[in-house]
Amino acid sequence: MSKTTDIKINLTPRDPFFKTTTGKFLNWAIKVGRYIVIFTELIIIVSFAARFSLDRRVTDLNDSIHQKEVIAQSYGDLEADFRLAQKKIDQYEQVEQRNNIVKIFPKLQEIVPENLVLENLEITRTGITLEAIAATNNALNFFINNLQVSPYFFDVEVKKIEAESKKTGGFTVLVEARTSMEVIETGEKIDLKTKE
Amino acid sequence: MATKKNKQIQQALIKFYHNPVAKVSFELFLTIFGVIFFAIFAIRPTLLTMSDLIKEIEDKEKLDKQLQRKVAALSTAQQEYQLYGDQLQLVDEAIPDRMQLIKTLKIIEKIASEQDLIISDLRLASIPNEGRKTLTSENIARIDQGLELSVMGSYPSIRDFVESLQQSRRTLVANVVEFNIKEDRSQTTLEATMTISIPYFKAKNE
Repeated sequence: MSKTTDIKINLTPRDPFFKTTTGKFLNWAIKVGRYIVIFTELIIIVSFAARFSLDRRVTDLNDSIHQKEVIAQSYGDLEADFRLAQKKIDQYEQVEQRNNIVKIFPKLQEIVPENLVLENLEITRTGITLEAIAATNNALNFFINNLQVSPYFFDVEVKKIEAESKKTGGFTVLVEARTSMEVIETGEKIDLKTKE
Repeated sequence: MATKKNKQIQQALIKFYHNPVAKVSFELFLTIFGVIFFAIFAIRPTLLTMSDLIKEIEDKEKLDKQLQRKVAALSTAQQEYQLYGDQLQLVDEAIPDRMQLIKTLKIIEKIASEQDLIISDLRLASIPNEGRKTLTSENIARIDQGLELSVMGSYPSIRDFVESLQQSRRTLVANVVEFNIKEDRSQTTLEATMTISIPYFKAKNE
């Protein structure tokens, strides 16, 4: 078996023009350059075609936005009035949520015995301070005991106990206590152990 | 001698430019240059325009959705406003847009007289400036005007007075109530000194 080999012999002489710079450039332009130009044009044509649909979407969106703006404007000052009303209601609720000291009065009345006279009483939103004259030892004990077991008062502190003059008799007592507004507001009595 | 050298250099250069490596370099240079040229002056602006357009669409879609929500919220707000609009004047009555000092003091005086109480002392830290600016949700601010008041009367009356103050349509908040027994010429009277907050709305920086 003899091997056959393909030998191509081109005897046509090369055009000397292709040896010049212009010739080389033209030769490149028709070989590689055209692919680059075609590729570029392809991208541009694709994007040009895509622009139609994108432009259409932009126009639709502009129309939709304009329509909604007109609708929103048609409500006039409603938004401003509504926001102002909301702020006012919020502020009103904040004021209303403050502890109401009026509710302390009946709770205090419940624990003060008859033979105890309040000389000075200060009620704040967080507590009470009172100075009282107890006619008897029992009245004093009864009052302090009531205050301590009451679910509406805690941190009871007896600041002073003084015996009154022999003429009038009795004891002067100065007491401070904090009020449990949560219990007063809800009216639910809580377990003393959990309160402590 | 010089002409012979020049000829030798010329021949060397001709040999070099006939070298295939030099030919490929020239085409490679043209190719790279062509790619860069078209990428910068044709593809880049096209892609930039496209990306701008896509970004614009995304932004407008967001805006459109927000506006849609706003229109829906406005519609609901209008219904609510129409439903409760009449009751808003109660809020205005409770906490008015101006201090309305004289009107407020008259309310307190009326409540005190209803409970047979004598107002022995009334103090204001300062006379509030009745603002003129229009209130908006941005500039609205609540001011709590303090008032110190002393009344004389019985304990139940004073207690009812405090309760009536709290229940008044004009919001009046009793912060502190202090009871004192006053003895004057063998007469014993109960006096209560109280600190009251009178809230009102005012424009900020007014």
